Amino acid sequence: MSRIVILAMMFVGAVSMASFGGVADGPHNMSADYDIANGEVCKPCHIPHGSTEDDYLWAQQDGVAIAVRADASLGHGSLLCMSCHDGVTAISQSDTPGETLADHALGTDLTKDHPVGVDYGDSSRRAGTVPVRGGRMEGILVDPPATSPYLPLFSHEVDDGTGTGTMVTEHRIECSTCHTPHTDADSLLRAPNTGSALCVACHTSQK
Amino acid sequence: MARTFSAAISILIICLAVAGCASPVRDDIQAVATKDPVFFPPAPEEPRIQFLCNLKRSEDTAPEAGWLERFIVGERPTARKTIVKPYGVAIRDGKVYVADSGDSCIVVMDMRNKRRKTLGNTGPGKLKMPINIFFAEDGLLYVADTVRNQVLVYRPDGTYVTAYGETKDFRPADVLVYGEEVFVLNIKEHNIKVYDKKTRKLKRTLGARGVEPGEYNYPSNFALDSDGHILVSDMLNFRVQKIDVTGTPLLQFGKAGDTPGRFALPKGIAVDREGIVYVVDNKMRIVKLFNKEGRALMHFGGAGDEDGNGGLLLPAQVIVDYDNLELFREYIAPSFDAQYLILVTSQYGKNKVSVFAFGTSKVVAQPTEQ
Repeated sequence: MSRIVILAMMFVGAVSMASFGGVADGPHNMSADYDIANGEVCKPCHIPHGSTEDDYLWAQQDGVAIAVRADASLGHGSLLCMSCHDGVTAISQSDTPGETLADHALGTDLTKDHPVGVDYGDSSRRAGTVPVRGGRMEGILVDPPATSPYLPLFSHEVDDGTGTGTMVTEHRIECSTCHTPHTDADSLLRAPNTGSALCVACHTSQK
Repeated sequence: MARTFSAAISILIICLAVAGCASPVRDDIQAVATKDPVFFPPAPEEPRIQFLCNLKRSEDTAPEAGWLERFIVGERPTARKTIVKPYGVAIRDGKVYVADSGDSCIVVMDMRNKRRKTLGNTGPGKLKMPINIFFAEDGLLYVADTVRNQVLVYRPDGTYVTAYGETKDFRPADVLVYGEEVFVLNIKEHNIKVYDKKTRKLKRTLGARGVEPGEYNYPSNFALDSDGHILVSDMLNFRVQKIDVTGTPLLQFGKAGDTPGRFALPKGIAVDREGIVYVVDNKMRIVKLFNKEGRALMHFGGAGDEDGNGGLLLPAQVIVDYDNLELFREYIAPSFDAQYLILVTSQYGKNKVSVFAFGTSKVVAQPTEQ
């Protein structure tokens, strides 16, 4: 078991090593001493697993591992961002007063910004028009490409709403679909949006 | 015929106009409780905390506009039905005060009269990004605003009094008043600014950015204990530090990690009269309890029960309160001897303001074996 954990950590470490340069040099390096060697740069987002040296005094059952189930309207590809984009540590507000990033994200009005925390696999959105700033755009949605630019969707278990307790898997757009902190690119985008390249990866103009 | 029709339309318009003016937007609140009590830690452990209810606005706010009204008066802006993105919370004299950073105001929920109002939304005291709030002993409300980059002071009725702040390198995350001094947690410079309450002049600065005791890295919240010491949630040093009012470090506990004594992202902090320290772990979605020495006791929140009762989502602030327990008496389980309230805000999810109580299970006479 511990061997698997170590292997997994080595893998994560290797991935991080390949990409942390963008973090270390950018606004997401929030460490006090810029100590890359000790993982200080990574800790704000990647929490190291602790040992069991410090059990609870009052809750022996919960003492070893703290597992927290995700059931949120916002998926893990956005929650991590929002934990620091809270209005204190980092910007939380959109350019419209009285609206948060999540308003843009979770609302049904797509004219302001791109939504996050929404299911991409809804076939009703596959064709027809989508609202854009100043009108509507004809077009269709295609699945995000699995290769460059890699734009991941995040799977999310939700109740299907039939009252039978059946769970279905949604594939959601989250902040991390288009953004990654592991880069020093403009707006921390996963790929340059020159000529709206990132947008048209999913929004095509062909019928 | 045409005349009859236009007369009918006129009457309709008048009716609509009258109805539009006369139907006030109901602005009340409700507490939503659970069917069965939710305890932390769960059985078979001894219960220490009971989830009581969530505070939210009633759903019946502005009535939906009909097609004719839409045709005549156009689309009306829809009234906000919920608290948008809360951070700080306070409770005083039967009223819960919530700093709604997403709606740029303080929401005041009068729990006795089930009414709600807002303050800090007009005039020179208009808020932009209220984060943490603190009631001083004299009844003044202090609000840290991270877009105005000021600490604003109001009377309980909402009248703006004054503001504190520096013109540069200043972003107040939290504020507290102790004696004749106002302490402001300046997350921009990772230090604490101390002001004279009378003159509003800066007296001293405590700490600087760093990892040593007495230094901070993105400190997000602080709280006063009954000894007059300050507990600082040193967020991105993943620890809690206890200091005295001169900034001398007295104790620190916690480091980065996902086990009981460690933090993934500590934010809100509170201390009860016995010295039990409550720390919000934002990423873990829980609130952790520590004893005076910093030893981990338990946690609560998380996803809550299977219906999400008692659950938290990106929790921000926690407070304890000994004076308003009676407001929530009806939610306390008969088997539970509640001692004080715990209020927790969540920045996302359905339950933005959750109310818990700390206590013990009532002693039930057990047959003794001899």
